[in-house]
Amino acid sequence: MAQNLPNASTTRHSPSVRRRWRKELGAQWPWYLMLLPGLAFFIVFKYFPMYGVIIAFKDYDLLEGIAASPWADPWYKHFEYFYRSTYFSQLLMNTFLISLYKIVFGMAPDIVMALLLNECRKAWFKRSVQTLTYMPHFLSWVIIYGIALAFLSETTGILNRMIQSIGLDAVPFLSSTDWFRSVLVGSEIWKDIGWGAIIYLAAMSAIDPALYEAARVDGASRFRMMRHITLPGIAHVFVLLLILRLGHILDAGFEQVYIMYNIRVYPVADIIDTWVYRTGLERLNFSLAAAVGLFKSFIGLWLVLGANALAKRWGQGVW
Amino acid sequence: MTKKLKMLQTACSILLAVSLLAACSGNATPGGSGSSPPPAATEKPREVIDIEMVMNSWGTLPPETGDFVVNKLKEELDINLKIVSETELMDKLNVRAAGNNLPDLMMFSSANDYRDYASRGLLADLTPHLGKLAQVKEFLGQGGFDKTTVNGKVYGVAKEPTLRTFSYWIRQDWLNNLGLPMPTTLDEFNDVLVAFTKNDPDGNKKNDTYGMTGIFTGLHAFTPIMTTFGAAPTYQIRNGEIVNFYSDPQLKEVLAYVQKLADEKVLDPELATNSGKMPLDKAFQGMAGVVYTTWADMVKDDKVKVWKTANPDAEWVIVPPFKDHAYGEAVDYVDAGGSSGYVALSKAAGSNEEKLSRILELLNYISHGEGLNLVQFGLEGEHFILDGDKVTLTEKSGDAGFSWIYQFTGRPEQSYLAAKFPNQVSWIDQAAGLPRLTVYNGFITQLEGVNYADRDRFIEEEFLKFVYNKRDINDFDQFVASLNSMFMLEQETEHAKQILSGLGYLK
Repeated sequence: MAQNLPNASTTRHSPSVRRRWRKELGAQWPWYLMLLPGLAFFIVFKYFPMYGVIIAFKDYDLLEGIAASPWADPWYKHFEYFYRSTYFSQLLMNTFLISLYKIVFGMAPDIVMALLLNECRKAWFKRSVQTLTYMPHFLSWVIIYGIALAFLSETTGILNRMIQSIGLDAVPFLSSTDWFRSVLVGSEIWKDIGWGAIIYLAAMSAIDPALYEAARVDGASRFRMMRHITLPGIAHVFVLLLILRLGHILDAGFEQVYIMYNIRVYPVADIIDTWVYRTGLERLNFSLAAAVGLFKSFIGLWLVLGANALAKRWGQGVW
Repeated sequence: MTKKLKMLQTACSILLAVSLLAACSGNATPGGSGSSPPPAATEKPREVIDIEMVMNSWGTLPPETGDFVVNKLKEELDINLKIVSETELMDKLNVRAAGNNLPDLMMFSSANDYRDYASRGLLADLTPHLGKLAQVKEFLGQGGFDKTTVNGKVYGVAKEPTLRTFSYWIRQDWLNNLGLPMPTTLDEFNDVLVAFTKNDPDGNKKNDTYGMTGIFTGLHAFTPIMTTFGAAPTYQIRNGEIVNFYSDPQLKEVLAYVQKLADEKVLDPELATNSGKMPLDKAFQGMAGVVYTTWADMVKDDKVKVWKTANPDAEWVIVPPFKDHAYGEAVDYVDAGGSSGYVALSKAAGSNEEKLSRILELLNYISHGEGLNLVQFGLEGEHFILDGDKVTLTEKSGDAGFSWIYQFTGRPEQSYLAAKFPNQVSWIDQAAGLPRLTVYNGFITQLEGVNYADRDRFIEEEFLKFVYNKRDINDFDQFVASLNSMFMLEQETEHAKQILSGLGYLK
C-alpha cells in the first residue's frame, strides 16, 4: 500500500491512466457495485467510530459528550494511570502468556483435526464428526463454564469424584494457580477445534487433485502425500491465521477469563481486559478504558506489521 | 467442492431458520402484554404518563398483565409505571448512562454507586422540591434525606433499611447425632466444626461433610467470628475512637482464627469460588453444617421445603452469640448510615416538570396510608382485611407476593413482617434481637485518586494468603503498611473521621 501511494500522486493527471480506469470500470462495474456495501460497512462501523478514540486523551464526561469534555492534563494521564497501576506488569505478563499458550497449543489441534477429517473415507462419518466438533463454537462461555464446573469442581465435579474414589486428593482445577491457565487453554481448544478445522478443510479442498493423482502414480503413501502435498498446500492459510492471531495477542479472551476466574487465580488469570472492565467500565472511567484499548491496538498493529514482514521474507506474506 | 457447498448451504439454512424462530418468539411477548385493559376513567382529565423504573428485584417479577399495583397507580396518579428488573444492575445502568438514556427512576443498591452517579451529575437535584415530599419525610424522618446528601444537595431518597437478621445457622440434628451441645465460645465452635467434618454427622458412613460453607469475599462467611473479636467492616467507633477494619489489630486475631479453621480443613474448599446462592445450596444438600445467613433464606416455607426434601431429618437453628467476646456480644454488624436502596431520578426526568411532579406524588403515595398498604399487602378487601390498624392477610394474599418491588421508600419493618410471615415471627424476632456492632459506612464517601478496584483485589488476595497459610500472620503489620502506602488508608480514615465528626457521631 505504502509503495502505491507515491505512484498514484504522480500519475493522477495522466490521461492514459484515467482512460484505463474508465475502461476497467465500464467492463467490471457490477463487481465494483458489489464492493460498495462492504466498503460502506467498514466506513460506518469501523472507521467512523474511531473518532471516539480521542476520549483516551480527554477526561470524558458522560453528560458533556465527546467534543465538550475537557482535555486530559497531561495528555498521557490515563496511559500513565494504567502504567502505574499496582498490577501492570502482572496483567501484561498474564495477557501475553495466556495468548501465547492459546496460539502455541491451540493452532496445532485444528490442523490435526482437519488432516484427520480430510483423510476420512466415509463421508457420513466425516460430516457427523465435523458437525459435532464445531457445535461447541456456538455455545456461550457461561454454558461452557457450567460444563467445566460439572466436571472440574473441587467438591461436586465428576472428575474429582473419580480421583477421590481411587484414593487421591481432589484437585482444585478451577481455583489453583497451577491449573487455571491449562483449563483456560483446554476449554478454548475444546470449544473451537471444529471451527478452526473448517478453514483448513476449505484450503485443502482447493488443492489441485492432479497433484495427488500424480503422487499416487509415483507410488507415494498417504502419509507422504499429506507431508508433501497437503501440508504445503495449507501453509499459507496457517501463516495468515498466525499473523491475524498475533495482532490479537493482547486480547486473551475477556469473556472466557471473566466468567471463569475467581479471586484465588487472579495472580495468573487477571488480564488487561478484565482489569479494564473492573477499573474502567464498572466505575464509568471510559477514558481509561479507551486509553488501554488504544495501547493494545497499537501493540497489535506493530505485531501484525512485523509478523507480515517476517513472513514475506519466507515468501508467505499476507499482502 | 459441491458437497462442501451443499453442506454450507445446509448450515446456513439451519442458522436462518433458528434466527427466524427466535425472532418470532421475541415478537410474541410485546403483543401479549399490549392487550391489557385500558385504565378506568377518572374525573381528573390528566394525561397518563409513562414512567420507567430500573432496579434489581432479585428474581421477583411483577406479573405481565393484571398487575394490580400498576392498575391502581394508573387510577390514582395517572402514572403508567413500568418496572425493569436487572440482575446486573450497575452494568446495565452504566451502559444506559453512556448512551445518555437513563431511566426515569432508578434504585441503587449501594451508597457508593448512588453517590458516584450523583457526583457525576447524572441525577436530578431534589433539594428545591423537598417541601413537596412531606409524606416521605414523615415516613422516613430527616435521615431518609441525610443519607442521600451529596455535596450538600439531596439527589434521592434512602429507602428504610430492612431488619438486619444475619447470623450463623447450624444443623441442630447434626449436633444431636454427635451428642454435642450448642457452641457458646469460639473454642467450642471450632470443636463443633471439626466434629462436623470428621465424625460423619449425617451418619452415612462417608467422609462427605464440611463444617462450614459461605462466601469468602470480605470475610463474609466469618462475620460472627469477626464481630465476636470486635472487628467489623469498615468504620466503627470503639471507645470514642474511629476504627478502620483493615488496620484494626482485632482483624489479625480474626485472620489467625480463620487460618486455624482452614488448617483443620473444616471449611468448604470452594469457599473462595462460591458466589450467590451456592453456599445455601450446599448447606441445603447436607454438605455443610454451618452457614451465615438470614431467616428469609432458611425458614420461609418454600426454603424449608427445599432442605426438608433433601434431608427429612434436617433441623436448622440460630447460633446464639459467643460468650468469649472482646468488645461485647455480637453476631453481626449493622450500618447506622445504611439503607436498603437509594431511589433517584435521572437528570432528564427531573427537568421534565410534569414527570417530576408525578414522581414526587408517587413517592408520597407509597409512603403513607392506602398507598403504603398497597405496596405492602395488596388491595384492601382482596389481599388483606384492615381492622383498625391491624392487618390480616386473606387466602389470596399470596397473589400480592411481588408487591414489595414497589416499596421504593421501604416499609414499617416489624409490623410488615409480622403480618406477612405469621409462621416465621418467632424466628424473625429471635434473629432481629441478636446483638450487633454498629458501623457507619453509609456516611463515608470514597477518596479521589484511590483505585478501589485494585484495592479490593489486593485486600482479598492478602486475606486469602493469610487464611491459607501462604503468608505469615505476623506480616499483618506489613499488610497494613502496604494499604497505607498504596491505597491511602490513613488518609481515608482521617477523611471518615472528619465526616463522622461533622455529623456528630464522633466527639
